[in-house]
Amino acid sequence: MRKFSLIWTAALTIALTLSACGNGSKGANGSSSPDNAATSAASGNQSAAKVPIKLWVYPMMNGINGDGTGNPDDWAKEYARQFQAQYPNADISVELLDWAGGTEKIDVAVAAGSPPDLVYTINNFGGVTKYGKLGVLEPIDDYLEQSDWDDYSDAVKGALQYKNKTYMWPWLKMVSAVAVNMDLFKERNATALLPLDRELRDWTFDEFLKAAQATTFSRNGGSNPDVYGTVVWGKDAPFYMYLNGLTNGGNIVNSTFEKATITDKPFEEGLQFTIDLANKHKVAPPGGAGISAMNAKEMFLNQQIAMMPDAPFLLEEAKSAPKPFEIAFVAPPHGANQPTAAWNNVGGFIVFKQQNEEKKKLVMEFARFITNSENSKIVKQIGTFPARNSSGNLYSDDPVMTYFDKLSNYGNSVFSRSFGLVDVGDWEKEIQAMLIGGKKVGDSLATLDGILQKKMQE
Amino acid sequence: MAIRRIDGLRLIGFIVLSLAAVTLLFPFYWMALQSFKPPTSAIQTPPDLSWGGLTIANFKKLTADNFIWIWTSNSLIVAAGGMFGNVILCSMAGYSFAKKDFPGKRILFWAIVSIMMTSTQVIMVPLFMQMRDMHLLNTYWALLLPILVSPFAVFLTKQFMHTIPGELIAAAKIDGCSEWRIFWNIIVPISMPVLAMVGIFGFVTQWNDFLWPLLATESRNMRTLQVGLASMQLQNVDYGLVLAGATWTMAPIAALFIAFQRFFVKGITIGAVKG
Repeated sequence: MRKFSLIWTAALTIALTLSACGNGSKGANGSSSPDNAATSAASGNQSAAKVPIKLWVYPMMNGINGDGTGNPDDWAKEYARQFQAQYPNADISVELLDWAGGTEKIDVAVAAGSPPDLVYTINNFGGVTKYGKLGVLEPIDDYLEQSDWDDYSDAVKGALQYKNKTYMWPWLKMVSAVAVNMDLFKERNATALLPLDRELRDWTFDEFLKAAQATTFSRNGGSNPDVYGTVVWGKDAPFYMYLNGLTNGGNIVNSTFEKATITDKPFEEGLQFTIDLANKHKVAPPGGAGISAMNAKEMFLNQQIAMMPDAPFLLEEAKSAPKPFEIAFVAPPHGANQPTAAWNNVGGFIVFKQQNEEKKKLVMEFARFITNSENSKIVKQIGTFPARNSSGNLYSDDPVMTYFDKLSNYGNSVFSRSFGLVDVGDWEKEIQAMLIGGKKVGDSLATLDGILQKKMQE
Repeated sequence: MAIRRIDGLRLIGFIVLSLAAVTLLFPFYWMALQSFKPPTSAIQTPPDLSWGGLTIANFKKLTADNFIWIWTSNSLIVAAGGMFGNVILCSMAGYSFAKKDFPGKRILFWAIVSIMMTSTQVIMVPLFMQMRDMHLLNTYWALLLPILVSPFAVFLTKQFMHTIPGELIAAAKIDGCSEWRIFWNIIVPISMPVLAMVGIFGFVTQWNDFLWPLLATESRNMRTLQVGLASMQLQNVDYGLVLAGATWTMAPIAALFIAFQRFFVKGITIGAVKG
């Protein structure tokens, strides 16, 4: 009995402590009624004129300059500090999301009617499409000047809009290529099969298949390969798996986002090539439906895979692999007589609907500040390119990044943006069904087409 | 001969269960071992299981940021709050449902049971709105209020207390016990096994919770351990940091399990035996 009395006492103590802590934290928060504060700002009362702005970012880099020393929200807080120095009425709070549950947090906040003012998003998250469709974003067309448009490449411009309205302040662009383990190609005397001597390092599906076949082998001399030319996976990052539909001349939707084109022959044939790599040609590890993008990367870093699609930061990871190896990047393979195409991703900031006109102007100004040509240069720290051309070539001394920059001009934004129309789970479900032979490519694409049509009509 | 056969069967059972235990424990062993190795070791194939090259670099990186201590204490507060809340409030509710008669008892009980079948994700948006409107977001209250009572714990305590003979309560009443003393001096001591289990499960559930603490908190110093660790993960995965974080997170739970192992085992069988 005495023990239980002790438990009661402990419970009461905790409750009292929490009571104190709870009130303190709330005071520190200071962001419970932003609209009221914004209204006060408009009224001109100097002491209450602070305009609270909520900025949500993901942990992209550590430190004020993104140099790795410090916290993952330091750089954003530093921008907030610099902006507040220029606009003393701005009261910016930075919240750090995480890659695992960040999008869910935004979704809940949107559904509850209290989203942040400004949030970082990237094309393959589908933020512009998803929230643009819901009508919860502020269009930024009135705030973009001609000089801004002139500063963005076509690949960037194509990533900012949903149905002719611009919603994203572009900050960075990244492009994917095919990472090649050169040590494996040298071991198999197969480097001649790679398109390294071509300006864009572009190649056809047939050439890619030959290279993959040459690097699928058993290191131990067994009958089953333990090293594969490439990898086809069913979990996470499905955009890489559908990419061959694009590089074969197809796309998910048309350029105006009015019609699904996923069942068109070029897309279907391109995707069939991806599935054939695993199921017919056997140049990818078996059980692809159960392999995740992370598993694929681990196999690549363990030298069990010769080629896989990925972004340039794989280069650094290869340097610190269990057995470091030489890496090269080439373009994604394309269908015969098709031009090179790449998966293009543009990241930037979207502004959620504002009740107060003055606050909206301030939020837009802050977005412009973060994404201006000087401040955008920080994205070099994460191996990506600033979205603005005026930021200059940050990688003039880096041949790999110079190549990626060149390839980014062939990026297709419609492809990466339209992924947001369909849940990642649906993309994965269909690729898994195709890989286990449960569905033909045409049937899976018809299912996805149905989802796309429905989404576009909503 | 028969005894020998039984012994043989028991030996086989022992071997099979031991193998199963080793299989289940291996990932935890691997995780703990890799958290003391350089990051590249984690993705090595075949796995590096040697004891060479141990380092505390991953933990240094983990604790270099003082936030880890804040997140750990936040998690302890939330998990302990969930534990005590479940034990105290659910035992009272369970007792009422098991031994008291009041209008609408059945409907109310089944309403609580039906909540058990509702997915947590479904209630997230209304819960978030409720907390926001009460201006409780980013406070301990937002983390604690929704977890103080668990429908499962109410169901479990009710089922257990239902089996306590009514004669005990009647005898206590004849002896002049008040309602409070009956609950405190008779029901609670008898119900210790189920209360221990409710407390332990309450602690573990809240310690591991990710989604609600993510939604309900804004500032880094209000994050719980699970959410805080996730926010340390940059785009490129640092396997050493991930595994050190996982080991750090698991350590209190492992200690709790070892300390209260007998209650876990008892708790698992409560529903089957007493229900």
